This record gives sequence, C-alpha cells and structure tokens, in this order.
Amino acid sequence: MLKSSILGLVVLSLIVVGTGYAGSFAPGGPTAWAPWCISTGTCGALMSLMALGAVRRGRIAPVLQWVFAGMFLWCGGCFAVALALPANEGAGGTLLFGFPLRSTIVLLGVAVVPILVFPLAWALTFDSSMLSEDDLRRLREAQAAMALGNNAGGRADEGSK
Amino acid sequence: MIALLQASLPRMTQPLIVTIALLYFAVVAVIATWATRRTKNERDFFVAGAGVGLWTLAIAKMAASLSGFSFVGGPGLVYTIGLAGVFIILPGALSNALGAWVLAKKMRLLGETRGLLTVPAAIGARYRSPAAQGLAAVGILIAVIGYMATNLLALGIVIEAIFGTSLAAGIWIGTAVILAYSVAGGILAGIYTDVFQGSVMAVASLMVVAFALKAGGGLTHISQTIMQADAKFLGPWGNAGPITALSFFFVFSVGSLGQPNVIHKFYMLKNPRQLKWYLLLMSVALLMAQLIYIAIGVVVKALVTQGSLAPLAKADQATPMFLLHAAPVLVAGLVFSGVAAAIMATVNSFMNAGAAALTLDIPTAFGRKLSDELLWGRITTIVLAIIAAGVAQVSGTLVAFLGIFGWGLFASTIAPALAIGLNWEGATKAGAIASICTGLGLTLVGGTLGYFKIIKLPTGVDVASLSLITSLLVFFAVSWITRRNAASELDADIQLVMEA
Repeated sequence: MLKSSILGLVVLSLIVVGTGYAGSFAPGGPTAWAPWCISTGTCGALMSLMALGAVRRGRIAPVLQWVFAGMFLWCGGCFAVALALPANEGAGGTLLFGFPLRSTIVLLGVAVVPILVFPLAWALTFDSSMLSEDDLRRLREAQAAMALGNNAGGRADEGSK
Repeated sequence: MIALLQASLPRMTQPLIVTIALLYFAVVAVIATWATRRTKNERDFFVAGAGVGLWTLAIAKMAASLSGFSFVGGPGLVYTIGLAGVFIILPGALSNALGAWVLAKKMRLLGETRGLLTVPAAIGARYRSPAAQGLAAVGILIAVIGYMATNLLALGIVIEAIFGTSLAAGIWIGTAVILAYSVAGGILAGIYTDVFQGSVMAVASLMVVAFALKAGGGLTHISQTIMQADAKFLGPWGNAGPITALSFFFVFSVGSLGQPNVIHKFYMLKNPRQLKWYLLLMSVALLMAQLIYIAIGVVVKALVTQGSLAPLAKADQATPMFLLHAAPVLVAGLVFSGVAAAIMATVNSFMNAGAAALTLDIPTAFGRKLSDELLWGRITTIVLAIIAAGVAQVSGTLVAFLGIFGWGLFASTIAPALAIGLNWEGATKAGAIASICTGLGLTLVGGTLGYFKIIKLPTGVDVASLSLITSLLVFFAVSWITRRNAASELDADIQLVMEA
C-alpha cells in the first residue's frame, strides 16, 4: 500500500514535469507556470524515487519520511522563492554571502543543504533501514538454500529422464 | 583553445608543463603495468574482480563522472550563459543520494547473486529478458561512441596544447595511451588510475578555486563587477532563462540513474556494508567539482568585465585563459594534467562499458556466449576506441552533437527499466522494452532532426529531457497495462534482492 502510494507520487510528479514541458510549447513562448511545474515536479520525482528505494518490508523509517518530505518542501520552496521574487541582480542589487539573493537561495537550497542532509540521513539509518550484518547474512543464507534447491531439482529432472 | 594555448603559453614555462604531463603519464603507466599483472579473467577485466574498497570506489566514481566537460566545457558554458550553466552540476548532491537509495545496494547485491558484469545484464536478470538486455546494450553502445569521441577530441586538444603536436596526432596519441592500459588491465587498471587521476583532479580543483577568488578580488567584488555590466548573468537562471536551467536540473538529476559508467561501479565494491559511508565520501568529492565548475566561469566573466582579460573568442578558452592569467605555471601544469586525467578516466569507463555490451550483452540477446570473453573484451575495446578516435578526427561539429545526446540516450534507455524496475515488483518486461525503445527512438530521431534543423524546439527545451520524461511515462503506462505478467517475470532470487 505504501509503495503504491509512493509510485503514485512518482507518476504524479512526472506528469507535472511533462505538463511544464507542454507549457513550454505554447505559442508566443513558455507559459508563466511552466517553470513552476518543472521545478516542483522534478523535486517531487527525486524525493519520491528516493522514498521508493527506501521502502523495506512495506515501511520507511520515520526519520527518512521526514527527510524526504522536508527536502521536497525545502528544495521546491527554494525554487519557488527564486521564481516568485522580483529580479534584482543589477547594479546595487541585494547580496547574500557575496552572491545575488535569489541565486544564493537556489545554490544553498539545491546544492549545499542536500550535501549536508542526505549523507547524514543515509549513514544514520543505514544499519536499521538499509543493510545490517544480519540482513546480509539472512539474504546470503536464503540464496544459498535457493541455489541448493535449484541444483537438487535439476539433478532430479536429469534422473527422471 | 588550441590556438590560444599554443600562442599564449610562454616558451620558458612550457618545459615545466611538459615535465608535469610526462610525470603524470609515467605514473599512469606504472599503475597500468601493475593492474595488467592482476587481470586474469573477464571478472577482473569488467568488474575489477568485485574486490574494490569504498575509498577507491568513491574516488573512481568521482573521476569517471567528471569528464573534460567539468574542467573545460562547463566553465565555458557558465561564462556564456551565466548561472544557468551551473544547473548541470548543481543537482549532484541530489543525484548522488538518489543513486544511493535507488540503486547502490540493489546493484551490489544483484551483482553478487547472479555474478553480473554489466548494467544491461541487470535489466536482463530483472525481467528475465535477453531482448531487454540486448536493447539496453545497443543504447549504451551508440551513446558510448559519441561520448568517447567527444572526450578523445578534448584529450587531443590538451595533448596538442602541451606537446605541440597536431590535433589529429593528439587524438591518436591520447587514444593509444588510454588503450594501452584499458586493453591490458581492463577496468582494474581503470579503477586504480582513476584513483590517481581523481586525486590529481581534487588537488587541481582546490588550487584553482583559491586562485580564482584571489584573482577576482573576493566573491562580493566579483558579483558587484558582473552585476554592473550584465544583470541577468548572476541571476538564478543566468542568461538562458528558467526553462533551460530547470531542464538541465531535471535531466541531470533524474537522468543520473541511467549512467552506466557510474552505476556499473557498484558491482565492484567488495563489501556491501561499506556503502554506509559512500554518500559522505561522494559528497566531499562532488563539492570540489562544483567549486571549480562555478568559480572559473564566473571569475573569467568578472575579469573580462573589468578589462583585466580580453573577451574570449570561444567559451572553451575560459579555463586556459584563467590559468595563464591568474595561476602559477606549476598550478597550470597540474590543472592541465587534471583535465587529461578527467578525460582519460571517463573514456576508460566508457570503453569498458561499450566492450562489455559487445562482448557480453549483445551475444546474450541472441542466445550465445563467446568462448573467450577476456580476449574478446580486449579486441572490442580496441575496435571501439579506433571508431571513436576516427569519429573525433573527422566529424567536426557532429562530435559535440554526439556527446550531447549520449547523456540523454543513457538516461532515457536505462533509468526507467533499471532504477524503477529494481524497486517495483509490478514493473513488466513489456514496460521495460517499450521504455528502452521509446528512449532510443526519440533520442536518435529527435536528436538527428534537431541537428539538421528539420525541427526546432522551444527555447530551453531539449530532446534529452523530452525523451526521458516520455520513456518514464511509457514505462509506467505499459507496465500497468501488462501488470498481470509482472509476478511471473520475477525470479525468486531477484525478488530476494529487491526486498533485502
């Protein structure tokens, strides 16, 4: 059920991106909403795909749910702010950390903050939500048993011939 | 860039740059000799014996994913269209995380379970479909030629600039050097030369960024200088507008799930539990790449604006002009070696991916297996390199076109079937084949029609993004229509990996 919902979000996000591209084909140039659709849809697709990869045994670690939802709002929000704020990059324009305000918001939002958040979230949840020593041992045992069963089945088939 | 470098490098300083370049090639030769002795079978040749440690993997992945474009083309693009050009590398943190959650563990465990050596083989195993494997391999093969040709041309330019050869000689000398270690030592040689090359790149990046900020008088001064002359350049979408910038963001983030030179390296990791620190290491490497990419383009723009540097005749001159103007000769030599390193690491990875497609995947699609895969791997590596070098030498502007659609072809043919298929039990063989065919058809036909100006897309919209979005939606739609077949197409051991 959870996976179906996440897949629904992936498809919805891709349709939003596609709608944005469709808006770019409008006669007289791209519609005003086209970049909003591409930015929001791409952020949605990225976070829902990550969530899809993080599903294990029908659930996602609660901390990861917050990370993916939060980063969607953060990245999508940074793009939205940059799209919504009036352009002010001419002489005397406002600077933040030495760069124009809107550009700093996008650079911090999409490049810098994710570099800090995702590696930490990944490492902190790796043992519990990705691959523990026990998980690996169980997987290898199950695969060995399966291979043994397949070999035994193969020999039985040959014997019956 | 060629004429500029030849004309501008002071004679007194050329010997130092040549010495650094020769030293660099000597180290590569030593590593290649060592790796060649360790390459005993096709598993060593194609996946480094699946015995690589995490540090090696992370540095090699960084080196393979940064081509000459990061050092030359990227800064040139930023110089031309402003911050819009940054959106190619901007989603790096997101795409690294995406690759980790969606593919890293599953590819590594799939490689172990089935002894897989190639990316198309994972698609074949997932859907129990040699046809899907073969089609994915065809997509890789076409894209690899374009990518290799683009990078060999760039390498030829660097060798010509450093050693004063002709461009053609530069291309063939560069090809011969990469072939020497790629044919003998396969990906094993590639991985360990990548570690050396990645280290050179990292040092070069940090030095260049420091010199760039110093040359421009600090970030605030650089911004104010540019903002007075060109209001849009430092805006969030640069001079190209939001659609172009956001299209880059979409294709280079979601499309990263289809890059075989990067995904393939997950097979090589010795212990899958080491993936715990993978994202952290990759992020540090990525940060360095982003810094050099942004810094040079922006600083050169500032220097040109304030009159310290003559306007560039061609955008690709941004990096060499900056090095000659603002960096000491030793740093310039290191960076030129870093450029060569980036190109060679990328070409080696693509040579290996192409050779694997020809030697392993396409025969499998026809129900055959070659008798000596190691030997055939070496032969096909040579053949592919010669074709790519020939294309680089004769094709002129076509080579840039081939390089551009290479990324799009990888993304639209591999990403849906592999990345979503390994995370969704409901995906079907029909969905995978339909999406691969859609990606192949749209990219090849759309790209060709666009190149010959038969069709013209709206500003900012490119064939790669349209192919990627269409192949993703086709994958979901066809899988949903044929969903009754999904369970019967999934082998039990593959399901175990997907659920692990």
